[in-house]
Amino acid sequence: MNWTGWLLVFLQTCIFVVAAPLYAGWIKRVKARLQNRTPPPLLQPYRDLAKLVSKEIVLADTVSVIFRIAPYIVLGTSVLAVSIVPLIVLELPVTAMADAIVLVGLLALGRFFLALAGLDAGTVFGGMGASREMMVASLAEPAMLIVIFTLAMVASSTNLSTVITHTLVSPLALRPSMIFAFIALVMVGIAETGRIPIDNPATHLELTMIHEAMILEYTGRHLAMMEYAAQLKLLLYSVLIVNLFFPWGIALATAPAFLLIATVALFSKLAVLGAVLAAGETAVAKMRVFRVPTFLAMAFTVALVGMLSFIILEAG
Amino acid sequence: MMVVGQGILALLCLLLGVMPTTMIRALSGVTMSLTGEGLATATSHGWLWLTPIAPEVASYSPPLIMIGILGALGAWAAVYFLLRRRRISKPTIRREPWDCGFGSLQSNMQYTASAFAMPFKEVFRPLFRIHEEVRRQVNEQLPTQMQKLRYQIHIDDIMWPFFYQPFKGMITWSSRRVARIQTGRLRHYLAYSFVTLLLLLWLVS
Repeated sequence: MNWTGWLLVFLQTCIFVVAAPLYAGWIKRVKARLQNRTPPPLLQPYRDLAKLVSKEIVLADTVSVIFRIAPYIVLGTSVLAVSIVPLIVLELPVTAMADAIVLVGLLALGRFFLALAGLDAGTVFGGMGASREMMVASLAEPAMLIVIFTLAMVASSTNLSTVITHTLVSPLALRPSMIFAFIALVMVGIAETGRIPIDNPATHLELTMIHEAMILEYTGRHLAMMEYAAQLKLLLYSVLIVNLFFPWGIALATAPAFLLIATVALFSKLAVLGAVLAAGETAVAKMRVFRVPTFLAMAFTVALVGMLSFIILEAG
Repeated sequence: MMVVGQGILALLCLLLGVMPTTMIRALSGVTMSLTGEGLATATSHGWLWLTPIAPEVASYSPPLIMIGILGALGAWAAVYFLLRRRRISKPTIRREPWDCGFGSLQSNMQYTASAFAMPFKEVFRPLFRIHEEVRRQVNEQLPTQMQKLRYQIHIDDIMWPFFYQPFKGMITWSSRRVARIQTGRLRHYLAYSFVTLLLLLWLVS
């Protein structure tokens, strides 16, 4: 039994879990600055979560037990999903256990329960949110899988650690397949985490919301868990983008110095990505819901072009 | 009894998902007898690891993932158990769901299956033949006020006429032919037997 490995998995998951609200706070802060508003403190998301946890729960009288267990399942699968993503160190026991396809599966399991919970209360908004979420998912998931297959063809492995190692050891070159996969993953990430231009996490305007519509009936700690799961998912996609395409700095060995460098590198990369995301969200307006399929079809096409450019230009 | 069939399918899904190596081994007898090939590499690392090509290329351990999911649920159960003393045992407050301030919600305001599928219908419209019919009956004095609304939808699979229909036609045609053989008189069957026996005799000799 590889105890150091499992300890590192635990440590890594803890960093993920602790840093997720911080990352959401950072994006909010940058966005507020760009929009000439007074930014909230960096730790505001933690305070919001703490406030929600301390509040009592009010349930709709139409909900069943699914509504009550869904937050636990959604947050549980999110934590499980982040535990299999290489964050600061490669070659962990979990990466052999679960590859990128399992990651997509775990997120899908969480989303299934999220949609069920949205439908459970029987209100129109929950149903609308669930329906739209499933529409987005049904188009985003194929694009995500094509991105994974492209990366798998480049590195000839679906194991996330192996893919990152391959990028690290191969000579630095501008690969068209990687550029297309990067663009597609960014587009899928935006759609999956419900950011502008697909969904607006800050809105409660009824006709435009997707994720917020599903969790509209939640209160108290249930709502905190749902929000927390969304923050974890946002950080997960950001880490995927950062580590798959710009892995430099990630620790190849488990010496403490390497881990420290990796953590610093990761946080600076995430800070840049968060700022870029905030800038993008400031510059772009939210799309109409029925433009979203076009956006995701484009992501799918870009991913497919990446795959084809690997087969035509780089393979062999 | 209605759900037994679904239950069997669900159980098979669980078996295939959680114990794929065992299932692949069990099924390899079939593939061996049909094609002479099995998936030896997929199960070569023991029952715990599914390795379709090689462990470096892709590996997956469904039982361990299952343990992970159960562990996540177990963690919540532990939290619940540990906090049971500090919990103030108050019944959870139940209120009416939010109705946007328009008065009480009724069951016919619920999201229906066709409402749920509407975005999919719009997105995948080119792949299906959708016959949609909306009949509105408005108030004569006030055209904005709807009196009656009837909505009908029927979706045809576009693959049906091009792919399944020819097969279906062929099978119907051939079974008609067979049916004609099956609905003869006694002397026809005697004639068949006679011809068959003659044929057999000719083949044997």
